[in-house]
Amino acid sequence: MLGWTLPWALSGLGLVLPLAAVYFFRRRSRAVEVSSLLFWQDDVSAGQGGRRLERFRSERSFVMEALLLCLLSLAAAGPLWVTERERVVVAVVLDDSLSMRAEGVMERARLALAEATAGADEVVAVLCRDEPRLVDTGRASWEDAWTGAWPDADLASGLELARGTAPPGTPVLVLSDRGPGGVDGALDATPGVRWEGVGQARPNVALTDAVRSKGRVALEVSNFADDAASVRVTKTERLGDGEPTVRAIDLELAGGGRERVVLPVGDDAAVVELGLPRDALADDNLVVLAPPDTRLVRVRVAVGDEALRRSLERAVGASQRGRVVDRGAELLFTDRRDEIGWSGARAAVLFEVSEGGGGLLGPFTLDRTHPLSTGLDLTGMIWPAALDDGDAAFAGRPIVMADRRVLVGEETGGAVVVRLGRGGNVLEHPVLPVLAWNAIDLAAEGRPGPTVRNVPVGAAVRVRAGLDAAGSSAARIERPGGGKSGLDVVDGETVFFAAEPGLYGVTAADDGPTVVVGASFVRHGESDLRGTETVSAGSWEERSLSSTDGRSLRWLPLLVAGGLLAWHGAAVLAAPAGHRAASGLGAGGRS
Amino acid sequence: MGRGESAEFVEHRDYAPGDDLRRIDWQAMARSDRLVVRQFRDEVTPTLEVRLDASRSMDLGGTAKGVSALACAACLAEAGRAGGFGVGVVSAGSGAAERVDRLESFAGFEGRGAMPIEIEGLGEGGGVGRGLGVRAVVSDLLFSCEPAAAVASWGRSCGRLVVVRLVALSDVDPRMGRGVVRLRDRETGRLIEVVPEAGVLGRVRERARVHAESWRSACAAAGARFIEIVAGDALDAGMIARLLVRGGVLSTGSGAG
Repeated sequence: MLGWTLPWALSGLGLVLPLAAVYFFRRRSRAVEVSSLLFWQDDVSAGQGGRRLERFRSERSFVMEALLLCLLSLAAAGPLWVTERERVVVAVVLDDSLSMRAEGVMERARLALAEATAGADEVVAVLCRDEPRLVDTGRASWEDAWTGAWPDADLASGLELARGTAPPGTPVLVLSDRGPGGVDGALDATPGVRWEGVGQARPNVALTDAVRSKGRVALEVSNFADDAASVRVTKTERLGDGEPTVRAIDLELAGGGRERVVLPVGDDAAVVELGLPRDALADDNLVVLAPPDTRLVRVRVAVGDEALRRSLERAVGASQRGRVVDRGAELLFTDRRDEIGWSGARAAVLFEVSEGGGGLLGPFTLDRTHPLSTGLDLTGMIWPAALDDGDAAFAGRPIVMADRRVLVGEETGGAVVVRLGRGGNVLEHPVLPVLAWNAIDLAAEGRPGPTVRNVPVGAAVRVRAGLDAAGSSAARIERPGGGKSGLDVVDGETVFFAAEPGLYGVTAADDGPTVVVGASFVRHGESDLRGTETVSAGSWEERSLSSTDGRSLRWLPLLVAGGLLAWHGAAVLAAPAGHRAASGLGAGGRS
Repeated sequence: MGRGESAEFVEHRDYAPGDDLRRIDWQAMARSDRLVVRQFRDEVTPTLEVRLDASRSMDLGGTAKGVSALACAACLAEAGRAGGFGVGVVSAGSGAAERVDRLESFAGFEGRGAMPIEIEGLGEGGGVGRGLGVRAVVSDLLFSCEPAAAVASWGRSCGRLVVVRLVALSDVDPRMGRGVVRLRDRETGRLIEVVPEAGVLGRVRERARVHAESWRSACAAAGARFIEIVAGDALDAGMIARLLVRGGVLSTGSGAG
């Protein structure tokens, strides 16, 4: 089937008409009778053996020129021999990070996406977040999910995922507000990677960090511009349905500088909002902070050793996150294994105190991935080793070891075991309060409800599901837009992603309280728009997006035209010359 | 006038090898024992042959070329007749030459092609066939040939050759308006296109001049007379008619002598 690349170029065929008119008027000459052409032959024109240039004015020249016009028009129209080809698949790698929400960027990106995939039968989409995500849902679905709400975009991994997932030879389109410079070899792939940068470098002032604790918020404001900026930070405290309390402070920010500010917050404030004036990226100008979890963990200290018990009670009090109780404890510190079973505590730390076997100076080995080792520093520690702490007998996960001895470990049943001998400086060393602090955190995380109260947008929020009246685990969530949904609970836990900024209401059990979780855009890298740019790099093969396979036949009319030109030129040059000497008359007839 | 075989005796002379034995005067030999031959004086009438180019180019439309050619032939005939010549007018076109005794017998300028270079005999009473007369050729000479060869051929069987080059003014000094002009050859009908710019016309004039000069030189070299006549558009037709009548071409009942 014959097709055309530029069908409108066929209108060039119409040029034959004016050409014919030119020839018609030029050929409309007067006729004069002469006795003989003897004296005129040297000045013959129009292809009758006259001057060479004039030979191009003959009828043959007209036919040649008309043919050339037609052939050139055909060539310009780009004739194609079109055959149907297989489905056209395009892979798109979409930057889903926060900076894409800068003014006008997402609109340009969606426009570029629509243009680039217009001829595609299928689009394989990879949403580039902190971890790239291949979306195999319908196009409308993943386009809705592409909101630019994530704290980071790993474009290199996204590109790799797209290449690895899409069929071989699939063209890849990367849509980002940044150029391909940060991704090595991004444009080296075959058949081609097109990188469309749709960003625009602009100054931006952002709230890059915010932490709320009891009675205060710590705030970081960054100026992502080369010039100094004056900004007003607005703090709004909301308490139930009452009038919000608003305060503002003015900050002077140097070019590229940042300021950290601590602001007092009323303990009874349900929500604190921190705001900046609108600029190039509006989403990082607002931080919503839910109240921190101020509930104290109930701790029972059932340890016979008086010194150890007092140390533990002091550590609990110093943490300000727990309180010592006699009943209903969530965390149990004990030196009796049998008490763990009937205490009902959610977490337990068993101190196995035996006769001393000497002090261990180290080196100590710590499992830094375990929550109990957070902040643990054994420098200067003389660990009172037990005599019979046989390491081979420990069934569980070692947390602190000296040589092959397990000093602190988590047993298979969940209890934490601390093996101590007599002596050493464990009671004087900070290791005990830190262990106690971490154990309190561990117990607090076990409570029903979300483990954190304020997160960056895009973060995963872990929720411990509580038991409802029927004794089954359940959790529900109400998103900032008002949508409510249940969460699938596995092993008493569930996770949701804070995909949009605002307040999330989390209910860990049907009859339990609703806990508020705040999500805000706080990300240094994403708020810095100075590295964004509008760039178009890389290319696809010309036929990548064509739903048909067209083999160009443009060469054919060009070849014919060239042949005609050569033949015409040779014929003109080979024509008998019109120059004959008037006096060089041979015997024969009249001219 | 020369020596021939007419009846009037002139004198005797000694025989020389090669003489016609029939001319030996046997009686005189008997008287003198010498071989003598008799010589007679012959009377020969001088003739004028006018060869008129009858090709189409001699009658170029819009010019007096054709009429002038006829007038020229008539003038020559009249002049010859007045001088006591026997006059014959022959039209020479592309076909065989034809004697023109009367105007009515002139087929007109319908010949296509060149003026014959080889002059064939005109038959009994041709006049110049014995090499004693004058031949006048009236033509525009606008054909391709070697002038020297043509002049030599035309003068071979006559005592004197006169070449009259009769052209129209437009043949040697063309004047045309602007724009492309299609020139049509009067004889062959061939068409060519020219742009009659000043340079083109100048070159045509120059070629015409060179052409005439080449014929003039050829005639001079062969001892022939060359006359050039440019037929003006304003030629007096009445005068031509009178010349034709006096020249006998148009007269009825007077043949060429």
